[in-house]
Amino acid sequence: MEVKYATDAQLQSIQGKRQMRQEGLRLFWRRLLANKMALYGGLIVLSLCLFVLIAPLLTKYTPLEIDPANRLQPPSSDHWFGTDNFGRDIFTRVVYGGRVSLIVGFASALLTGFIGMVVGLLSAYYRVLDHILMRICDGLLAFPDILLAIAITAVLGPNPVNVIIAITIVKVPAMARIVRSAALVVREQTYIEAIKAQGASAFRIIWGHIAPNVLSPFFVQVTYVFAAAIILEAGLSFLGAGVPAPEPSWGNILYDGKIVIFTAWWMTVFPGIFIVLSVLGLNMLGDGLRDLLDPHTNKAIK
Amino acid sequence: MKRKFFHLLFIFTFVPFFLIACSGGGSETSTSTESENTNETPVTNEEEATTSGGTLKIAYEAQPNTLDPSVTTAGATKDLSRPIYESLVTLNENWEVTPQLAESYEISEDGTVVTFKLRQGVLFHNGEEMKAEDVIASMEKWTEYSSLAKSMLSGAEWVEVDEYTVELHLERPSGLVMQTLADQNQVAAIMPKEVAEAADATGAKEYIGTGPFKFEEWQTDQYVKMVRFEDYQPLNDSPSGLAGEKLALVDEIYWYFVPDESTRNAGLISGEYDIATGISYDTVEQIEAVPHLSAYIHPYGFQMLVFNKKSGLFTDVKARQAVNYAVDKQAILQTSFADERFYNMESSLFRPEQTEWYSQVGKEIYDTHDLDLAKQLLEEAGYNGEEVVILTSRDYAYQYNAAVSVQQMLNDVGINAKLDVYDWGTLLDRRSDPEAWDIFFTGWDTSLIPHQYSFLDSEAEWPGWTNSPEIDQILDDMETAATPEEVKELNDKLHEEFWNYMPLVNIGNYSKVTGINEKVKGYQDFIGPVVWNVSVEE
Amino acid sequence: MGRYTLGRLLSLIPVLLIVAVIVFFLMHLTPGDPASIMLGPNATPEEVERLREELGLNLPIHEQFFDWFFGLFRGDFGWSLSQNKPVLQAIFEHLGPTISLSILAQSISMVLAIPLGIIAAKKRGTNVDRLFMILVMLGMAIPSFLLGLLFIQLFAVKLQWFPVAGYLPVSAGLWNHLQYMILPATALGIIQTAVIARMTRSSMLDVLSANYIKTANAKGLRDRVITYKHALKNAAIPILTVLGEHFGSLLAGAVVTETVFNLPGLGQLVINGIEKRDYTLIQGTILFTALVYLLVNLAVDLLYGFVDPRVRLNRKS
Repeated sequence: MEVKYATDAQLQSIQGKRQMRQEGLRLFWRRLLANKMALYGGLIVLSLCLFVLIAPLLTKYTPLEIDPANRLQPPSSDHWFGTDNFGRDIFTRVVYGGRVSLIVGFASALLTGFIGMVVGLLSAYYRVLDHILMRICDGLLAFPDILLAIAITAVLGPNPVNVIIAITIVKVPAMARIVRSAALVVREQTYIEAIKAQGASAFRIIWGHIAPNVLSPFFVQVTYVFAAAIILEAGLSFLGAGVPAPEPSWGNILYDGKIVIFTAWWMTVFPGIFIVLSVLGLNMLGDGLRDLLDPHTNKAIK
Repeated sequence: MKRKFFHLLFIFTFVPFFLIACSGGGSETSTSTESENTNETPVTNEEEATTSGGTLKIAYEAQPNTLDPSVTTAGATKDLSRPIYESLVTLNENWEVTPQLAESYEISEDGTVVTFKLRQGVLFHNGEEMKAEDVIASMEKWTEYSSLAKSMLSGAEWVEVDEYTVELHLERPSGLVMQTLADQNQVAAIMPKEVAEAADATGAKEYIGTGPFKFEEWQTDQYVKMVRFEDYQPLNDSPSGLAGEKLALVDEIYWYFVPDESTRNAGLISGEYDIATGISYDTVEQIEAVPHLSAYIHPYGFQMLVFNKKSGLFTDVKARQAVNYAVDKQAILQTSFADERFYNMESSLFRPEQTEWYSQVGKEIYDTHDLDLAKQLLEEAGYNGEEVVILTSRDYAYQYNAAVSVQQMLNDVGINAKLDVYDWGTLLDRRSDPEAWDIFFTGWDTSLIPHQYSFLDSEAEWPGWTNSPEIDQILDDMETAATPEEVKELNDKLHEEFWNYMPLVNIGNYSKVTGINEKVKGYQDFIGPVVWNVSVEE
Repeated sequence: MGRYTLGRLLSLIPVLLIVAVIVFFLMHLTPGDPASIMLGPNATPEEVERLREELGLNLPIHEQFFDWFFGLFRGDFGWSLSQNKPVLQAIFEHLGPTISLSILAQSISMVLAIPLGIIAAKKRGTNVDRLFMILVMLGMAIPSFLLGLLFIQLFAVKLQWFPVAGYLPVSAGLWNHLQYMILPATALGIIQTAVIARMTRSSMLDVLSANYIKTANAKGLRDRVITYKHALKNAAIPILTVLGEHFGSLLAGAVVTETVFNLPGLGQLVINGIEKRDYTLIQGTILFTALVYLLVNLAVDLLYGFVDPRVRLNRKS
């Protein structure tokens, strides 16, 4: 659908463009509502975001407030998710940790998307660059991702921004590959040849004509990277190499909870539920989007 | 139909978690039964365990780099090498120096020559007899790598008199020489001459000692296996601390390397391991709730809050004192060690059972928790809101826990404290940079003499950079002190100066916990696991 | 075919070079020092400096790099300080658990996933299909280390069906070995299972709706023959691709899973190496896993040719 819109757009007046956009949007919404997968996935993700945004209003504690007298209390009306080994309120930590985990995930996805887009498009267009960039991507892909991320955070030092950078470096190669292969298909289309023959600049061809046509696999992939980034951050923090304590993140809470997993199940179970929920929501959203944007897989998934 | 799908999806999402939640709850309720197995008494065996045999399986926290204890102060090396090696002298349960491979020793009247008579017929694990040349090669090697030996025995020489007699010639007399030789942090292990001579900074290439167990196999990242040394010649004195009769009652010992606390716990509970060291303080109750397990609590060392005295706020002694008054040591110990059974509010650098060294001087400074006084001292130090960096690592939970609570306490008196959390390797690197930090936490195992505490000595340049001419002087005087009374007096002065100058805040003593299966008899911990005279009864 | 394989093999060399350079400089940029870690927290700077000198850590970094790099061409991966043995030996000693874990996880996931995927495809739109989709979505959303923690809690501590953690090699008896491997392999294989199952289902759906299957149906061929002989063979390509692509994530997942279950595999080796700043060990191990990863992917590519003759034809032209 996007593909068609972009090509036809060349021929439309501005008026027509707007009309088409509105129609396209309406169609998109209709199909979104019809696509339960994307809808529910989106709803889960949205409500999680909303939850971590407003929940500080629901709790009277702060995530770093320690209370040694109330260590490792099971869930109660005072502490909905119980307390940890410092007597900190797990509910509060899960909520604030959710902010960190979701922001790290989202920022990594955005940054990965942006860099992956640039690298993918450039290597699709320039053959020489393609060889260099793709070999580097191959090299990075050959690392087990978590080890590469650990090494990068070890070099840069532990803070959330560096965790985002590490996740991005790890995830960019796959993203670049997907953008590249989608762009290669577009590049070979006759209309690109035509525009080239008209003397359009490489910049315009890449960004004005190829880029819009790789957007659908791109968005789907960004959604998956978001989910993968949440898992990767949790894994990193679980190994003690992620978001530095005492700042909460879901992986961090799991790290603290691992030692006491036999006595304080609540420290593993609650952040665990939130990780699973958010990854689930994002995967559903991604699957739904893919069905929505790509008529071919539509048939297969339904 | 669609809706059903999503209902199911959510049910399936939560069911596994609830399963876990419920199973967790089950063990939670059962922890109320508390088996009392308290402090410092070893798990004694009622009937004298003469039956030998079986395998002792120990889940140990860390893998050492080497099993040669004479080149490193690493705790893992000390613990695992202990059944393999012996030294000329060792410590009994009262921390007194006692002969081991030496039959006896004698100090000349001017105090410059120590003569060791060696026991005859002591065999190395390779079947050869231990002789003077082996002792000399081993002792020279140890002197080369032990910084304690280097400072205490500087210029000293080892001389062979005959096959079974060696002499230690000192440059100047010292009352602390025997304690130095009995050092347990970096043990003066006796090994065959050719092995000692072939060794380098990373340790001996073969592990051959005279101990009751001999080294058999090291599967990296999995285990070290030791087997009984059949030709071991035990002493006849009754066992005490590390001294006296040592019998290998089990056929073999496996030291499994299990760095993960919860895995050690779980393996102990399921019966895979007979002993698990370094039980997390928070899981002790759970261990005690299991009928066939007990928690053995043994004193370990003290926790300290180290100041950077080279750069920043804490170059000013007033600021250091302010921190001492600002922190609630009881609360720190509580967060670090969970329960009163695992810590003691002690101001001394030594334990009460070390009668020669234990000192109460400075206790009142240690005990004072006074926020107003702290604020006043801070003001006098001219503090105005600079950032104070607390360096810490989560690799050691108790240090990290202390750092988190201290950060809060410092904030409460108006210090702008910030936590910098790194992995252990990075922390070690950063703490050697005076510009990178203001405070870090570490634990120090209780030592035999104050000279082993590098944090006191200005020459050691140990991070924190203590630089107190008074303390240096006291340490020097102690080395040459003639009588025990004189040493005692100097020791009190040392403690006084320690609390005045405050190179660090001693937060208090703490213990470690080892989980033990009831089929293990006779296990105890004395500056580390003691695995001889231990039997396993199925 | 042979020339093609050779060409592909040669193209691995620049990739490995890149990996070698990245890993070397990454590690040497990391703060921390093997000597001070070996000596412990109570060591004095003087002791640390002496050990650094003895270990050759004070040499200029480019000298250290070229020493290591040219050693590689002689098959010398260097000496591991923390393991106190040659790096290659350390790698081979830790290979067993990781290989076993990967193969078992891969087998578990294939044994579970392919039949499940086929059944779901054939029963599409029914409750069976829906249940299948639920399990798949969940399987993909649970990180393997979280699943591992839950497994330990449930099957090892509560039910005591399996040992909690640890490892016995195959030489100690196959069953003894499997006892230690089943939980970690399952925890690790679940994501894989979900991905492959879903891929199987969707490519089966594609194939089943193709004309030649309809023809086969019309000819009155037996259902089972159609499913397994005609359809599955043609659906195999996308499944294979997924297998290859996810082998890398299997290796990565093994790192965390090995930590949870205390398996002495390559993942543990590298994690310990990073903790102890054992540079040569990390460099060697990473290079080794990269090589394995690349070879597996190459093998999968070559396998296409056998599974699907069309691919072979395309390449020749």
